[in-house]
Amino acid sequence: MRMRVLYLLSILLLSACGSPYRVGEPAPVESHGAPVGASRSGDVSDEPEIRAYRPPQQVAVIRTAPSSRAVRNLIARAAAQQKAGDYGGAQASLERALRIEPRNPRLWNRLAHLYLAQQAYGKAEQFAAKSNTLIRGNDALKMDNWDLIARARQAGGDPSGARRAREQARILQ
Amino acid sequence: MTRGAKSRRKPAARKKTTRRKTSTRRRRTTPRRGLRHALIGLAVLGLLLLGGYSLYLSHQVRVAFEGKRWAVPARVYARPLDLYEGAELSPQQLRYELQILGYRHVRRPAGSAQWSQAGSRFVIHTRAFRFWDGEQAPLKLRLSVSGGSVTSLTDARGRHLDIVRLEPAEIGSIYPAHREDRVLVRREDLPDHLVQALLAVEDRRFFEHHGVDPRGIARAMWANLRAGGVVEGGSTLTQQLVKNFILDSRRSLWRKLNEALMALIVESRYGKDEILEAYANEIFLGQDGERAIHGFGLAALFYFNRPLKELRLHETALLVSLVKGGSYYNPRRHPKRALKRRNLVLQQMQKLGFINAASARRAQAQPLGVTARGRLQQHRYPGFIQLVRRQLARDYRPEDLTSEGLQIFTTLDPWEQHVAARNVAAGLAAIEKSRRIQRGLLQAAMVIASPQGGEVRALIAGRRAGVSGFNRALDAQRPVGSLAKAAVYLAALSQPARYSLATLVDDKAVRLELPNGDRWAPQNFDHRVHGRVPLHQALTHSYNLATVNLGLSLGLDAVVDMLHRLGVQKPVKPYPSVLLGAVPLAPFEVTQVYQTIAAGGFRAPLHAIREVLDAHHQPLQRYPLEVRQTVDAKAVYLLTANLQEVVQQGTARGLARYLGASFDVAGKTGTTDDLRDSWFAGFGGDRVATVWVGRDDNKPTGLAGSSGALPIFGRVMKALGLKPLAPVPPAGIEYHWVEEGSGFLSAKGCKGALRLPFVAGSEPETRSACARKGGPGLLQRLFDL
Repeated sequence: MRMRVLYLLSILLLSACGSPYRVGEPAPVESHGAPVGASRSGDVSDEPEIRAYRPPQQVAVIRTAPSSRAVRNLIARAAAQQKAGDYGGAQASLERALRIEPRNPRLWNRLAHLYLAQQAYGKAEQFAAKSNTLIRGNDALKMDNWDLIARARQAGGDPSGARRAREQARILQ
Repeated sequence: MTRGAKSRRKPAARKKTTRRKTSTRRRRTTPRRGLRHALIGLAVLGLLLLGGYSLYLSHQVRVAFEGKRWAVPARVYARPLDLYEGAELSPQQLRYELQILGYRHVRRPAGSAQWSQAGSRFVIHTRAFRFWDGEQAPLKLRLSVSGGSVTSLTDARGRHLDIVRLEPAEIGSIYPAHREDRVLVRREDLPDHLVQALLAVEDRRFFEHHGVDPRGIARAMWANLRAGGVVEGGSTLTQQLVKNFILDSRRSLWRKLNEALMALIVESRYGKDEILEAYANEIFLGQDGERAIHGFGLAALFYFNRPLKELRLHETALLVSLVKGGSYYNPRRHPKRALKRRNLVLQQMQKLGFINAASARRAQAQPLGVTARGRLQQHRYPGFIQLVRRQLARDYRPEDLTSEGLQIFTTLDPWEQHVAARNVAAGLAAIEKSRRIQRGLLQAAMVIASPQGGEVRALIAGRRAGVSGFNRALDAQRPVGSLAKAAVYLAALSQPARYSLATLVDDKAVRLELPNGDRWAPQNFDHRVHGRVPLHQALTHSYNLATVNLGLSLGLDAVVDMLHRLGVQKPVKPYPSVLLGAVPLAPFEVTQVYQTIAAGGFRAPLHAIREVLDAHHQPLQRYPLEVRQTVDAKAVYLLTANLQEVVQQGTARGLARYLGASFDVAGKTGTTDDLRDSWFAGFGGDRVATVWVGRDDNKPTGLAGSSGALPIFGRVMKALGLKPLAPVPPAGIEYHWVEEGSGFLSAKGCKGALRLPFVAGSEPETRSACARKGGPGLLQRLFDL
């Protein structure tokens, strides 16, 4: 029950996040071209190496919601396919969406849910973990991933692993 | 099969001669009762033999009809192009995609498979296509392409479309050893004018006779006599089919008789439509290298790059004229001869009333219209197909692949393949010119994959695109040199309690005695020793000695284990030289290693296939996306930051020339002993790729990784529009200022301070003098402004 609420919450967040990202935040491409001056310090001419690393504020913010209509369309299609019991079709639609936005954590999360529904626990966990590494700042989605990992581990016969994952989810609450 | 039939026929031929001799003898001898009995016996035997022989032929016919007719090779398709607003696309790429699909460029599209362009606006009428997830009906698309992407996408009525895809281009077929290819057409798919053309010149009483047509033979002889050359053939379509099916092409009376007998058998067993369908799929219509072009379906693609049903009258007439001799009338080699023959076909069609004079005239006025080269020859990717074959071989038996008519949907991006092939060739030529290397001496291989999904998007097997042969991308096992350092540093960074990017490592001389008694004393590329250097600098400048010292203190097993976790499958012996890349790997395997890094430690097995459908378009197998975390994401993030530095300031600085000075990309160069192999592996936001440059005879090229493979990587990625990397720091990564020389914690604005990512808790504890003071003084800050 709690999971259902969480899932609902993440869906709500998904629909809520759509527009703010597109208007408010720079696209990855734009953020890249910015000068790396913020990481410089001291005597720049002596130490050219200090240009080496991008400061965190320059790292593009990953899209927490699918930005393109194409991807939204594919997500809807996948949901309909899953509802109709066509798991293969749903997978194919989500993978097609991932080819368009390969670093969209939401899509990896959807695939994780799809695998969980098919009792492919190992895959579900991997996809949720992958989703987690691509998230910046969306705690609800992270929480959902950890919760999903916990359920996958529990069902896959790893109760202690499941406990650890639940703990991670709780920290984010 | 032909050979088998030949050998079986020989004894029969002898029997025939014997029989004739017996009957001659009978007339000369006086009749005797015993002899009569013997003769009756012989006659019965003869009849029995004839019956048996007919049965044998009948069996042959059945086997041919029901077996070989369906030997359809597996068709291999590229990825379909997804179209949606925001999709990266240039008008140039779109034109290329449409061209390889065989769509016709017209002023105003009216039918399917046609397109037009006005500036940045395209109108495209697609073909219907059965994808693995359902049928896509023909679409009438309007799209605008500008600034490198699709800016609008609507249907003919202006309604917005979210996402559609073009059908995938066919990129090859996996056909049986005897190199016969087929695109099966059904009877109902045969255009009327094709059937009419066939009747007109090959067998006008086809629907009336029973397999053999004596009147047809007489008429053909007469017609040919009057025309002074071969205008019509005397063989019926059925006879021609039998000839193609079973018999060899030697001219002999016995063969003719056999042919006639079998034609009669075929006609008694099968209907006219079945015979026509078999004929249309069997007839030999040309040769494409070592591949025979059989049937009108394949011939339409081979000569016009369009499916049979899209051909117009003059094009169909040309195909029918090839029945007489695919090589003799080869329209690419003998255009005049082919044109003459085609017009003769049209004339015959008019004479028999199939077409009127005006249509005949119009069609005769058309040029031949064949494409410059056969489609599959022009757009064939033997290197990539080889990879597809190998991956399929895990799941299918060879005979299934070559007789079941499978449809195989792959990950190949034809545009990417095209751009990469062109730039690899041009890049090699440029290197040879500038370095005064004998032209054509260098070889190269390249693999491009999607970093997150592991889909192989392009594979360059060698310098000459489209030529099959040694597949360097898959099979050239060469030592990887410094590319292996990524595994050494990753193994170190996976132990944050011991190593961070700021940890000082010793770049000092190493002398080792190996178990076999050999001495090993590696050197730096510049033959200098650099003393204690920060770990990230050692990788950035590819210091060999620092790497060996680091690797030895980590333990060789840890490094070998890391190579395996990154995706190396073959066993690697834990010799110290492994630290400097004495591991022979193919470019494909290297790409797997760097894919795992590019994907933040999530290995996605490189694959070339997405879906397989059976001959009835039913999904047979999906190859879903697989990912598995094999390395800690935080360690990979640190390594990636270091590999970005390699490009910005280290051995791969040269990439700036192609991608711009501040372009965000990660990579590593590799060079082997005596400059035999030049490597580069790298990744941006949407592609991970490996380039190898060297010689097939493994002799030195004089090229380091930065002067051979790197410029080619740069050229290709520039042409493809690589996206910047912009990695996401995973949870548990913190940035701190450190002092370069000492490795102490520093502060923003302090002299020589550098901002580095750390696994939280692994940052240095000791603070530099400047940091202890709470940062740089006011004066210094002012100066820095």
